[in-house]
Amino acid sequence: MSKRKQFSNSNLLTLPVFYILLSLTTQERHGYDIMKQVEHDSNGKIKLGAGTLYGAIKRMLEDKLIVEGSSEHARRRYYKLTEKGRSIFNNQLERYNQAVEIARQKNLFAKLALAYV
Amino acid sequence: MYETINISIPKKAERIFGLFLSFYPKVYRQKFGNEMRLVFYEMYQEEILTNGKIRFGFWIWQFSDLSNNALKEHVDLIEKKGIKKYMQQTFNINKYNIFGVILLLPAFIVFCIDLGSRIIQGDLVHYNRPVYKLLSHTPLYWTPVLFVWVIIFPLLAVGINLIPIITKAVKDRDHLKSKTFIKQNFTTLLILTFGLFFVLLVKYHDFAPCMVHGILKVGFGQLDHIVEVCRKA
Repeated sequence: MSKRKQFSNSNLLTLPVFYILLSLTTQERHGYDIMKQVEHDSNGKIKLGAGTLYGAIKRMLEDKLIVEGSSEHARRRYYKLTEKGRSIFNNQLERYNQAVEIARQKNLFAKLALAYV
Repeated sequence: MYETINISIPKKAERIFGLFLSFYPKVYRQKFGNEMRLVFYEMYQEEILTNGKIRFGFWIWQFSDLSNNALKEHVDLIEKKGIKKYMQQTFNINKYNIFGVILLLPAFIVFCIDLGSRIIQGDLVHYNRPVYKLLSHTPLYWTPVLFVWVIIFPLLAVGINLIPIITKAVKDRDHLKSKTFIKQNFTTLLILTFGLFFVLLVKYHDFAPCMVHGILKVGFGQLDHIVEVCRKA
């Protein structure tokens, strides 16, 4: 049987995972907090359900991109980035940054704006 | 930061979410079930605050999200543990159940063919002669062998599947009375039910469809008369 691809610097992160990691870059958060932050950061384009959210959290925990943080509430689990998670996120961010830079050099943003006029 | 507040939601909504959550493997539910429940409560509250009520689309979204991801978790579990351990842990399926299913398969096929052909001919009371004539040349319908498929094998399936129940009952007498008895032995009980059903069907294979036909035709009002007629069927 095929094994699930682990998160690594060479694999592209899915958008939900990227945004979850983004939400954890500044502070540790619990599930609902992550959900709302992702919705905010994506301007409402990504709305995670509980199933998608915790499916992603489970895989990130298994691959040690995140760990459980300190918890003030007994019922709540908080999550935070590990060094590996931060490294993979930064790597992904760098890729996006390079793509944006190339697009800027080719003046694609202006062309894109014209296309919508 | 998005803070949580004390939230209570209707019992019915809790039960529906609980049902969706039950799609997930037990191991997953034990680890993330509580958190997912809390997140659901907050989503429910937010839906009410935003839209004044719970829209049908909210439930569609919940069902779609949870069932889709539950399926992925089951696939993930199969990849990690292998199909044998997965079946044992998720469905409480043991080797007796597998033998039972194999033993019941011929009777099940005969039953489906018989019922289907009676429905196609539009007469539940009598067997479908052309279909029977065609299949009588196959091993499935040879007379002495048919006896094996529809009586011996189901009885064996019942006998074999009583073994785990009796074994557990001998070790722990309270097992039969426990609240989780049906849940822990669901597959075994299902096989026992079908096994006994097929054995009974051999005796009543004309009586049963005759009853159904009679009830569909005249209703329950003349049940005594229907029973009397079908006894002679």
